[in-house]
Amino acid sequence: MSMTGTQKNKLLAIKDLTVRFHTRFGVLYAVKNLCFHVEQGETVALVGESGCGKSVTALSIIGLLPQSIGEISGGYIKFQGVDLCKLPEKEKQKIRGSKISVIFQDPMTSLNPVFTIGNQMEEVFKTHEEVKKREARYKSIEMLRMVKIPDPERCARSYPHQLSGGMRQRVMIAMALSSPEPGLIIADEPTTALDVTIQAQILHLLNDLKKRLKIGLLLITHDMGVVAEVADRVVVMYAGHKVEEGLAESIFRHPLHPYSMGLLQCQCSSAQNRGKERLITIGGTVPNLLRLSRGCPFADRCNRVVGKCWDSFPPQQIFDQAHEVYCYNPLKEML
Amino acid sequence: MSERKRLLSVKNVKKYFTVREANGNTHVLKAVDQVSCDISMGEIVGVVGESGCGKSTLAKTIMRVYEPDEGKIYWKQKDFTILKGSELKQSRKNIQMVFQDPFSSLNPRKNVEAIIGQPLRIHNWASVQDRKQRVQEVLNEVGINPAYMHRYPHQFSGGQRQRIGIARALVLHPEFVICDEAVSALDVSIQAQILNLLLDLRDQYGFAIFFISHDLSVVEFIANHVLVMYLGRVVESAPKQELMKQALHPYSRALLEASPGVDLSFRKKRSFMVMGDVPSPVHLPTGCYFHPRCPLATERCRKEYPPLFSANNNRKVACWEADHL
Repeated sequence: MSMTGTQKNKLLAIKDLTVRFHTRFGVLYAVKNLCFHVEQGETVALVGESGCGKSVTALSIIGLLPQSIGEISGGYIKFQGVDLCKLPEKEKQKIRGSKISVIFQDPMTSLNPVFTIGNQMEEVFKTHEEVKKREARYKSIEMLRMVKIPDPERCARSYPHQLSGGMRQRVMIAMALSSPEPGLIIADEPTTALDVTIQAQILHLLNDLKKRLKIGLLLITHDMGVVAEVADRVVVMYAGHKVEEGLAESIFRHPLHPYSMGLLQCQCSSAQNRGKERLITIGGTVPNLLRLSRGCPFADRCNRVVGKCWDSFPPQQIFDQAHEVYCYNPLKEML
Repeated sequence: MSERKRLLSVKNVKKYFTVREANGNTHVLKAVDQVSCDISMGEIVGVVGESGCGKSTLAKTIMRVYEPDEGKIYWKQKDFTILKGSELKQSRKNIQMVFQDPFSSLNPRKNVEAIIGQPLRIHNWASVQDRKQRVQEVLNEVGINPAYMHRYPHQFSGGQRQRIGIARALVLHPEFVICDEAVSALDVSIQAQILNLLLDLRDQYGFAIFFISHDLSVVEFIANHVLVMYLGRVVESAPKQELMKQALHPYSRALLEASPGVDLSFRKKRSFMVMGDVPSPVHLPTGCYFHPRCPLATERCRKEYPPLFSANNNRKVACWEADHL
């Protein structure tokens, strides 16, 4: 699992990815010099608050950035060794939905309300392989059974509004896996719209399927609780930058970046807040990406800020077990 | 119950809706069913439950946005459900609400001064100068620079907007504030700031809070007393410390176990996970509504809905099998 792992088991490798948007108010960098990778059979969590660039990263991977204003201005995204940014649209279309699939946050808006579940699932099979309608229907029902939907035949005949949120999200997962060779699943806030008891079920389902099918899972979330539940490795993002990366265990035991520490501590359920009168907070708000300073974007909210922080973005520092951090004053005493 | 002054008493309140299906059949949806609770000055009562359990309907019924079908609500020992006209308006001045979505709960075409000044206008603060001064005061209290009072909602971040929502609720010095999922739409770091702010303001002014959330960890942090609701009914009512020590109802326990903590030890020990979905509130199961998902369900649970038993230490639980947990 070292950082210099061989190229061949890297399912997804992102290097120096920079995404910029041309807005009415100027150019902003939603993602800057982002590097990380996902190996086969691994769950990587991309964590951060709204506006940190996690969803933009997901859209860049599948090539769905809004073309009118967004562009990848640097770096590469290699999937199974192929650079997705250089691929013509037609080739990309072949990979999208068959080898790389996305599960979005809101299962209501990602399913078409006027077609039955069965209809929409068959379409996935018919798009990516040569199958007859009957076979497609049979396969769809098998997939629904795999995601543990009770009475899959009836579910296939239902319309999205007849299913609960949890069931719809299961359908989305089934659709994401409906291909002869699923490789990578990108789950963008897959449980945010769901109730807690359902959230736990969906996370376990995703994790089970990932292990069974040996796929890679890129989990995008703002919720450290969800990360703690299923992630193998964690990438913490802030204002478009990766600020920390490491095994879930090391990040939860001893976060090195003050932002990661803050994220963990400010949760109501964190150990530091047990029995306290007030919660530990991170002061201030997420910066405006249009007005970023030269230095570390977290500097004005950070309680460990030093002089250098204002001048330039800190370089990478690596600690034990491939735990990297981008900070001039990391919490080394935690180690 | 306590030496503190009783502010609000809800007694056996029911709110039913009629649902018409496409085929013309009508069903009764029991959104809130026989709910009782008490709130004293300065107390924070948390209500937790999954979507569709009736928490927001309960809040709206207390506000009398909905009229309760049955049951009584007493505001300072006076029957609040029969008040009308100017009397109702006077009482409502003391009950304010903070909403979930800071984006849709503020009028985009009004500036902050107008938004926060609106309740003052409604309650006959005639002088423009007085209103302006009070708006500035309350903005200061919630941590927004009063110089921004001429700005519009879109010029603020989500957290700041929620502060404006809180300012609007507090501008009339209410004695009771209902927060309906007030922090659910915010980022975690902002969530913590807003929760602390609410507690600071409560300490300063001593108002009571009715805090509704789907997130048990938030409710556990902020509340003194917790109500757990499932499909319109209160299944457990307990002081916070008692509930954290041990949940008596299997549903409360399931909620506790399902809410992910920021701690890797959660991964291994999850002994009590419930399966399946929340049943449809128009086609309720027989007996205890939780029995189809409950690992402890017995024959009796399938047939009879359990009454709210009183357990020790001011707690109540509606479960036949509670002592087995």
